[in-house]
Amino acid sequence: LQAREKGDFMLDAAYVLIALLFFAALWWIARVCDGL
Amino acid sequence: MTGLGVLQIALFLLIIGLITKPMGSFMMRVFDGQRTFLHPVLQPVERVIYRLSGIKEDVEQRWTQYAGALIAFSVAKFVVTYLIQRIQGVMPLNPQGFSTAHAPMGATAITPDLAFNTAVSFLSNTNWQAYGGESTMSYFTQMVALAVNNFTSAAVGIAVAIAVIRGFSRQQAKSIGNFWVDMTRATLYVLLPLSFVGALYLCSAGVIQNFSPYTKVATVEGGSQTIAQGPVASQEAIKMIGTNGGGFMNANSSHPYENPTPLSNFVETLMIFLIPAGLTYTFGKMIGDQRQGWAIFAAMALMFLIGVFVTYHYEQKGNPILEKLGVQTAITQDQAGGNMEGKEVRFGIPASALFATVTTDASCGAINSWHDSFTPLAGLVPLFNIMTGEVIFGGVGSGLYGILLYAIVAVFIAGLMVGRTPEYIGKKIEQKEVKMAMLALIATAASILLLAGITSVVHFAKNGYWNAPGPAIANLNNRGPHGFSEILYSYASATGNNGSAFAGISVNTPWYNLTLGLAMLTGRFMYIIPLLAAAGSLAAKKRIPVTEGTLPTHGGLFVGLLVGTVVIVGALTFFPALALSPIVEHFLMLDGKLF
Repeated sequence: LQAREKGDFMLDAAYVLIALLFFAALWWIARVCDGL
Repeated sequence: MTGLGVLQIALFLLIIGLITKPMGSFMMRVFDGQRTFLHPVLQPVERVIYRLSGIKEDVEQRWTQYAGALIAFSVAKFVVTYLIQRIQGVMPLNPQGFSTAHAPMGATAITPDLAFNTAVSFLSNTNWQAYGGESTMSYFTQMVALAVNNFTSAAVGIAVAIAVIRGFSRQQAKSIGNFWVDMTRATLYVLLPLSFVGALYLCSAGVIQNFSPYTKVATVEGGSQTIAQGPVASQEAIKMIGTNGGGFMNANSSHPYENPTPLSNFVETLMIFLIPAGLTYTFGKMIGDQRQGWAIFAAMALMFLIGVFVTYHYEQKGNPILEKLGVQTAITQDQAGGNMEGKEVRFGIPASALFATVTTDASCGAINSWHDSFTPLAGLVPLFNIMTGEVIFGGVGSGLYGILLYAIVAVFIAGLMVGRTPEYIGKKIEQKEVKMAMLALIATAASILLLAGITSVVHFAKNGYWNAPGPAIANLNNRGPHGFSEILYSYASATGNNGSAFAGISVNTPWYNLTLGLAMLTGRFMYIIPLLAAAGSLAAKKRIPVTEGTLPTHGGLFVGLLVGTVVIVGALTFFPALALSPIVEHFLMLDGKLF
């Protein structure tokens, strides 16, 4: 893995988490839409 | 405008019209599970895929299951694409040594924010590129991470469009198809064969396809130059056919290794509309009334013609300031005249105007000229095309489901005007469908306007992570309204999943990579989820018979209403922002000011 910036692994975890949170929110929106 | 230029545009539309029916019929057979001429070869492959992955071909899904499968697939694609980028330094097919200690001077590092942006970009069919392909990505990453996403993201778009069509075509049904089956068929029967033929043609036209290290040559001036190589043709075909748009090279389709001749340029332009135009016919066939499909086609063709001729007119007219300075801007036998800044001499003004319009009518985003260099009103056309959701033929699948969303809004408005419950193709359009259409329109408009607005005013602290210190607009190369156009275009392009850049803005910073990434996710999935919800609701309804009070949706009146809805919704939402960018820039240009 590149190590150009200190704390890269933390940043990796943060960006993957952001994407996962988006998709989790999307699933929640889908459930809400289903109930409308 | 020249006769040849007009003829080229007319020939383009004629060919698109001619291929719509065979392409549309073929796709209808594929998604209806009927035999096609490719089945003897590909059906065994399809069955093996189902057996290996445990897909039950005949088990259908409710819309929530369909959406859930789509979300799960997107999560998996994100993780794999992110990982491949971050470990490309230890992966094979990397003769330039990108992401290693031997990386060439000037190579771009794939930082976490760039990997996030690129993964989101390719999984969402946007192909926004905050990096230069030939100075960042290994051949392995280009092929395994990016080109695979080009196929799967296009297949997802087609699958969703087919699911939405089923919503209209079915009655009292609980399901709208099987996501895995639709996606497999879209990839196997539609995208792979077309891309294979397309790549062979592009190779014959001069597009490169190799795994060689980059070539170093001595220039006639005694300097040295590095010429990038790579498996370009195989990525180029799906880049156009899948309306992905992400170039192997930074210069995209203006690079001679991606688009070598005027003929390859014309064919690449046709490739963009090939599937989206065909899907209008598939729509008509699947709902059992081809007139409905042709009405959609007519609305799209009308908007395409308006856009392309506005762009062509203003580009051929050129910049009046240059004319006042005595620069020859009139067309002659020896020169193109008009505004040739940012254009390839090989293609000239008509082919550049046509390409720019087509690539933003669709959510392709490939470019063969620099939209940043267009005259203000010519640049307004691509921007407005993207802002209205790219529904003029549109992206593969996304164009059709986008225009069906506008059709729902159009019949709703018509229903309000005459005081009747709106209907579309025998289905009552009720509260649920209108709510879903509004959710999609508002979410995407908010993404563009809010993020562009915030970026225009935000300041960054010294020694911070997100951007260079100072205002985010310091990343721009142009000031005034042109600079604002660059920001607005970026967020419109990301949200609209177009991926083309107006250029003139340095976006490879954590701030831009994150916010543009979020815009891409919002633009893609906040359209898909509400539309699948509407499809689920429509599929459960009965078809109602046509009465005297039914608005005919296959004639000129509906075509006009649909075009009007797209234009008016777009204008009402974005006019203030556009007034501050290309429109005011146009008047200031007439007043002698450039930015």
